[in-house]
Amino acid sequence: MSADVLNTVTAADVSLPKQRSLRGFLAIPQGGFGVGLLLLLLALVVVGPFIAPDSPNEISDQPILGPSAQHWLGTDSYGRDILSRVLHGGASVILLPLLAVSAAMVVATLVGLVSGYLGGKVDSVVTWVINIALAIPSYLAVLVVVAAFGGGGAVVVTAVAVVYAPYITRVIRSATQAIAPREFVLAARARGESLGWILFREITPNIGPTLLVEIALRFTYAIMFIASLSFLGLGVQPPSANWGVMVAQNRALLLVSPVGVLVPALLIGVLAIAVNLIADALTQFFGDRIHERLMV
Amino acid sequence: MTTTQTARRDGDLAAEGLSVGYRGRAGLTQVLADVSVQLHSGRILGLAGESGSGKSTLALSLLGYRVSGQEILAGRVAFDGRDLDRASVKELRKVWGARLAYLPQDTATSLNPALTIRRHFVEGLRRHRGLDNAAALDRSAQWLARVEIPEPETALHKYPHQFSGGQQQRIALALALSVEPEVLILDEPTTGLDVVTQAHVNRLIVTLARDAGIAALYVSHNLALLATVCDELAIMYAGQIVEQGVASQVYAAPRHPYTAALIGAVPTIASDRPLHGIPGIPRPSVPVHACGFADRCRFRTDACDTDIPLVALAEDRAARCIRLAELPAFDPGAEHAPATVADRAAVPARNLDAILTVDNVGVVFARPGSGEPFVAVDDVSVRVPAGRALGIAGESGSGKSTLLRSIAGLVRPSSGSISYRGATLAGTAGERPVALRRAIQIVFQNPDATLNPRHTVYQSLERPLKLFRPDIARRERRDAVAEMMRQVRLAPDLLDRYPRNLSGGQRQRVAIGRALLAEPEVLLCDEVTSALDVSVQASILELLVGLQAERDLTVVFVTHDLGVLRAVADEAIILQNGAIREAGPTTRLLREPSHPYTKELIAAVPDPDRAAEFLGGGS
Repeated sequence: MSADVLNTVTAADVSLPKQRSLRGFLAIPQGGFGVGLLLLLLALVVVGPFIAPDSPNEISDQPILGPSAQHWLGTDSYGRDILSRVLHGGASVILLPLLAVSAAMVVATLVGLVSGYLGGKVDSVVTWVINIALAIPSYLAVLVVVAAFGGGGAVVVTAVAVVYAPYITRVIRSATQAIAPREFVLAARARGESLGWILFREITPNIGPTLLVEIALRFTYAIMFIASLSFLGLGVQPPSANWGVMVAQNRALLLVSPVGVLVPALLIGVLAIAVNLIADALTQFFGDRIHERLMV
Repeated sequence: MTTTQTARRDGDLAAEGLSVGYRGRAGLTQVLADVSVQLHSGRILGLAGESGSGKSTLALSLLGYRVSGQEILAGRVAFDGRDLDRASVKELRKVWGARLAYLPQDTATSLNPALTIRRHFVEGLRRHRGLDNAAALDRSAQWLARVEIPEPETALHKYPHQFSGGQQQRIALALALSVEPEVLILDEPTTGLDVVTQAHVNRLIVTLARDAGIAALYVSHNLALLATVCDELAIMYAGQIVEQGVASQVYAAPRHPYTAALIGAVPTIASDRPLHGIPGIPRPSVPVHACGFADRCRFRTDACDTDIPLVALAEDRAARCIRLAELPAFDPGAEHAPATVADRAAVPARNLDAILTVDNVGVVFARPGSGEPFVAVDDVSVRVPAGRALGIAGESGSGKSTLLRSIAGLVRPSSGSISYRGATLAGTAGERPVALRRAIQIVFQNPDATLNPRHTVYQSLERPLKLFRPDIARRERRDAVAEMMRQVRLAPDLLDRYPRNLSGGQRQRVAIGRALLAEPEVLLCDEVTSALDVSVQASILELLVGLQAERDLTVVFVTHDLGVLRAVADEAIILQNGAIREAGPTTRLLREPSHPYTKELIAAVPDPDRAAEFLGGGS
């Protein structure tokens, strides 16, 4: 055996890369169950409008019917088919929080990265703003916005995004602070890399797990938050079919015809649980310590 | 001090044919095989080995300590007529602390930050020795005095964080010894400490353990230290003891090829002997029907693929090698050709042009909360001759890394200037022109953080080419990177792996490759080997010295280890509290130090040939 062969390390000498596969994620009980539930709900929401027996807003002369062969879940006080409204009413329940969280995430990631990496005065200002923002109760802030601009999907999405952004910024900022002094970042600085490269190519991939867990958790909160706002009449406006709105409208008939409240409420709950399970599984999957969080 | 020593029985604690495995997802991994050691009162047994060799598992097994998933496959741990490996937790709690003491590397695990020193002592003394409060306090103060803690009475009322790292480890030692145990297990007790502090703590350990007639096991990766402080030495590799015997004999005339290679890899300040790394990486588990060291051994033959017994060579000497009869005892001093460093010393450095000049550089950090700023680097001036290696040595906090980082443009100097070939360098790398950023490259200390964990090896290596080498076309980059991999002794098929799949030494090779791909004139090295095993350290230093000669590089090498300094540096400066204490050619500086601080540093380096001096001298 020549000395050179002995001296050179080849791939055969090194353990095989451990793949973090999708299969591995699904093998975590929460992951598999959460993804299963979410896929089921997504199927319901996507396919629902096509298989709904009636139009969601078609008013019939048969209000407040119990479940029957014609109306599987009965009708509401306007005589609208509850099953059709359930099948149509999921899209906005998922879409609005998704939009709100995505918008908040984009802003928060930018601000958190810059503030965490640069530190100094920039960071002081950002921290100051975050602290003030966190001192304002979420519902109150959104109520003020809605009172000023009126209800509706767009306003609620914007308001929720603005309210959530500081929470997410704080998480991204502290994750960035943990990565910034590491030597591969110093190496990049010594090479004279641009700020953009350092933030997005060196740091961002390493806070990816934190980011993903945070997205999933915030999404859960946002689903509940926006559904609650819709219930309060501040979010999606009637007569739109929306699970939150349905719970609010059928509430009066809870004792007479409970299906109209229970089914949409249950679906919101299942959706939130599914996303929460996924968030939990993501944390386990990446094995990263979750930062301390305040609940909304 | 008058503590009456009870009569002790010889060889109270022993492992007999101990085999231990861990059960994990991948099934059972055996980490100890047929290990027999015996501790004798008043004597220290040194246990040496690289990380993963099983030495810490053995230390903990000797205490009867069990980790979940751990299984005793064969053998026993005998202590005073009972089997510790089978003892109940209740029985173990009676002997732990009272008769068997353990001193871990990190005082964070031995001292509770929320309790005063007094509480630490009193708890053990009351529980294990039945002393009342007053007697316990008296005894504690005596022990603090014996480990040379100033004002022991006052010290008792302080908390651990109010002491320095070395003091904390001395307190932990006093704590372990105060209950007068029969056995003391030391697991790398001085590894995290500065050299001078290390020497102090080691002197205390040896003196106190011998005085008290304690049977001690000293676990360390530092073979020179063990050969200096221990009576007997056992060398572990891949979960087996490959050689054991009287410490001085094993160190002077090793019989197993691994022991010889390990000694050859330890940097020393005493001789001109060049360093030689051990090729390959240590194996993590016990070999099956083979010699564990065979794949890294120069003397390997087909006969090595069999179970190899530990053969007794003399009454107290044994080794585990199939070719013992044919191979003579090794002479670690005269193995190889002279060093390249020594050759270069022929041309005096002052006759060479300076490539890098540091003029009166100071670095001052504002300390949040207090008005007093912290002076990390204090008015340092040094010139680095082209093509030479300058070593910067000092203890932690001496400002050596800060100085290096200010040259790299990562820390802006508060005063003074740094110039490269006569041109003044801007304070931060971002403000320097591309050509200057290319010319000065830096390699860092921590192999876990030096590469971006989310970039493949290729992505990390390609980056300097993109930035600094427009002459290399995009499709030729992969070839250039592959060629660099070969130069740092890695195969190009590792290029698509992520850093987590590489060992520490391999990551440092990639980091060196990344720096060299920029074709720098100056390579800055910040403690690049301090986190690595000695055998790996020696390979990296060998590589660096080779590449430096080949490419006519100028190297600035920061280290706390004077042996490493001697192996790589032509010229050296010694820093203390940010200021230069002494400067000059490395060999002369180490042979005829003139500054008291340099002398103190040199005296703190363990040297088996001057063991008596090391253990008797100083503070």
